[in-house]
Amino acid sequence: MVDDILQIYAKDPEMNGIKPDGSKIRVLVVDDSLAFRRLISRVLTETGYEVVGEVADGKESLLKVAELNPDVITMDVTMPELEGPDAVDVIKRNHPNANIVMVSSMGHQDLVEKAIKKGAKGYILKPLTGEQIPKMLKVIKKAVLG
Amino acid sequence: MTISKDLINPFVISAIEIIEELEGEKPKRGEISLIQDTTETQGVAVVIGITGNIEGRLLLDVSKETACKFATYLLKEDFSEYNEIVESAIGEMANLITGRSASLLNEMGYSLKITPPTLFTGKELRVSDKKMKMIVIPLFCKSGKLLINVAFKE
Repeated sequence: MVDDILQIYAKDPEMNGIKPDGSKIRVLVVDDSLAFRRLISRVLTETGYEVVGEVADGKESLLKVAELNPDVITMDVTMPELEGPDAVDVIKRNHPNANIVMVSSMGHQDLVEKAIKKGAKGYILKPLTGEQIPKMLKVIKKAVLG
Repeated sequence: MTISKDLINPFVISAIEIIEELEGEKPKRGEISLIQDTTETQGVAVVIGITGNIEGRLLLDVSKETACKFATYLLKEDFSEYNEIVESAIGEMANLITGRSASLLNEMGYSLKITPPTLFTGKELRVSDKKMKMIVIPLFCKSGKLLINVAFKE
């Protein structure tokens, strides 16, 4: 049933991963939770995005951003090695045009705000319920296309 | 230190909210019990540390079967066998519950941080806390029984 709903979102230009030129939005997923990386990657892939990489910590994300040059990065606010807002700071200093969307559960509003001050373009709330999925897709698409 | 209801309620409220968001139904709360020494878990125990102006830990205790069902709800795909993805999903659930609890407690004037989850699995897994009294609150969910085991240093 979830797959049916994702197929609907895949056809919605406000949510799907297709750019105006027909190419796919390329996403780097950064999260220390294997489960969450799996979920977000599946949702994004089934709605037309291309997940170009998955990374489990902020430090590794710095290397992957340079290597892969994604259109957008989804980044957990709390991670080992380097926390989300600090990773945003380093990424934006080296790649000023990078589009970053933070992923957070409740209780980390201060980190989300810090990341946005550093240049993140929005945030997604965990858990990724049926209601949160369309919100997530719109936030990601808007981060890339404005 | 006496463990007051004010300290326990945020964990129960947060767990109920998260589970309701996932399962679409509010879980039923069972009788609270106070355990002094040792308790046996249901097979999967996730421990998250709490630090700050009070110190303690949250332990979420489920069976492997219940863990698979929670993972199914969280990740929106079927998990019939317990594996590393299910483990990660349960750790994620524990993070969500503790994060929300810490937020509620911080609004009450506590200053708390939570540590990353540590997961233990096994038959006849026993938890022993000599220095901390454990409050155990059972929640009866669609996925099965979840025991919320909270302990704070005296």
